[in-house]
Amino acid sequence: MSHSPAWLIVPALMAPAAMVSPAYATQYLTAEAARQLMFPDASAFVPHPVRLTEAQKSEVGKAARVRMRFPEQPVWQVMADGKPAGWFVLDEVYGKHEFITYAVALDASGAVRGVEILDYRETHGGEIRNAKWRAQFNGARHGAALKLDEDIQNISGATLSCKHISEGVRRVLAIHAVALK
Amino acid sequence: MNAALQRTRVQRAQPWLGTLVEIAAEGDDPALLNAAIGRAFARIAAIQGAMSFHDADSELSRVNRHAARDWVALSGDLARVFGAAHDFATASNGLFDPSVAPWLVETGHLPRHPCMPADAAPGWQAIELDGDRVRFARPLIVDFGGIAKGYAVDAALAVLRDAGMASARVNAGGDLARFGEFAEPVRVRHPAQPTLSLHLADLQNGAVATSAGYYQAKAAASPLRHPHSGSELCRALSVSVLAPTCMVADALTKIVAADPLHAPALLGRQDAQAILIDPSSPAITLGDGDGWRPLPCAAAA
Repeated sequence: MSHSPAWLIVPALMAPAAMVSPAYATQYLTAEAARQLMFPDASAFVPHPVRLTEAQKSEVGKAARVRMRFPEQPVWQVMADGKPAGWFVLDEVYGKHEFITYAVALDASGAVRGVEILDYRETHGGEIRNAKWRAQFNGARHGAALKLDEDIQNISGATLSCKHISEGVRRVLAIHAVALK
Repeated sequence: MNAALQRTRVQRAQPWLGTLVEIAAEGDDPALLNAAIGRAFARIAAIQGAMSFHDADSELSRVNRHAARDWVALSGDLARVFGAAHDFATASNGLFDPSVAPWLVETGHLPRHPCMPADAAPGWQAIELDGDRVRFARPLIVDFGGIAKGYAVDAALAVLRDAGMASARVNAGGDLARFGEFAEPVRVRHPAQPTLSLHLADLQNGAVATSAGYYQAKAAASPLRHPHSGSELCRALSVSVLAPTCMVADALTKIVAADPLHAPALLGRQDAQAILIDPSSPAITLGDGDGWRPLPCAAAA
């Protein structure tokens, strides 16, 4: 009996052959596209860059339980019907493996209305160190050479947590509390 | 004229389910695409709201507090996940067990909430389901970490299908489901080198889920436990399951990781395939209803 499922094409012959580029990077949205999506009714986005004083920086750090790396934060005040409708904040976070830029939409009361990832990049340093390991997959041994810069649309087993983004959003909320209220 | 040429593709990502959820869809109208993707994210948000273990006010947390005392009514989503989890626990003789949460609370993988029953111990047999309500025959702490993500991915994909998208994909940190007019390659990260990936299969309509221990702090214990002994499962092995739905794939990865030997029967019944990648060798093993075998290409090395 055969269990090869009708919904799936598994060309087992090619399965372990293709090794793909180590640089996972995706650009999801531009900042302009994100703010349009998050505030479809906005009539204007007024630049309102935040520059925290040392005192505010430490206040934010304490409230958000994360260190403020830079005193500046790119922020826009959102206007709709001539009235303030909220804030659009750009932020970036990085961890051991990832570098992420994202946007936070706050409503007029300062509550989070949405988070959209703009840019996702993985920043590993291990590839070169592991060139020898990678070489075992190279060339004729598995029937295909190492492929670089291939499409990585469908990737399973990416278990990066969104811990850094959660921390970043907490910091944005603290910035709103000390500098935008 | 080729309709595919006029199609627009939108890809967005938001943080949900403790990971990054990526949704991509293709259709004719960018505004409709974005609206459909927005609804799909909202669906995931609602499921997270109902099934979050971390949130002490979620529907699941309420069930954990009260179900040992009395019947608790369930929303449609939670009733379906309870039912599926119970089916998988039965079919796998407890290799899949949604009630091992006390161990994970003990190790700090899951938070300890006030009012959580202190005397709870694993034992899925104590879950009693009656239509859209549940009760526990004795104190339990249930967590759907092994299945809810897959359920949420399926639900979000259904929103995109109902919206008439030509093709779509939902990927929640590696739990992935898609549909489309053509098959696309799906890849899995190599457990020894997560920045590199292997071509697993070409998938047109279906799902893949992967369980592996990489990206977890070296010092911390793996959250994957053998349900019968509580012992930590080998974290280095990468287990991927290809199945018709992501919920099935998600649940089966846990069963395959816990007991690869007996998994083929269940894989066959679910029309699924499992692929094991051992980090210490380039060999890859494929399992389905017919049993386990090395993938031909690896064997030819």
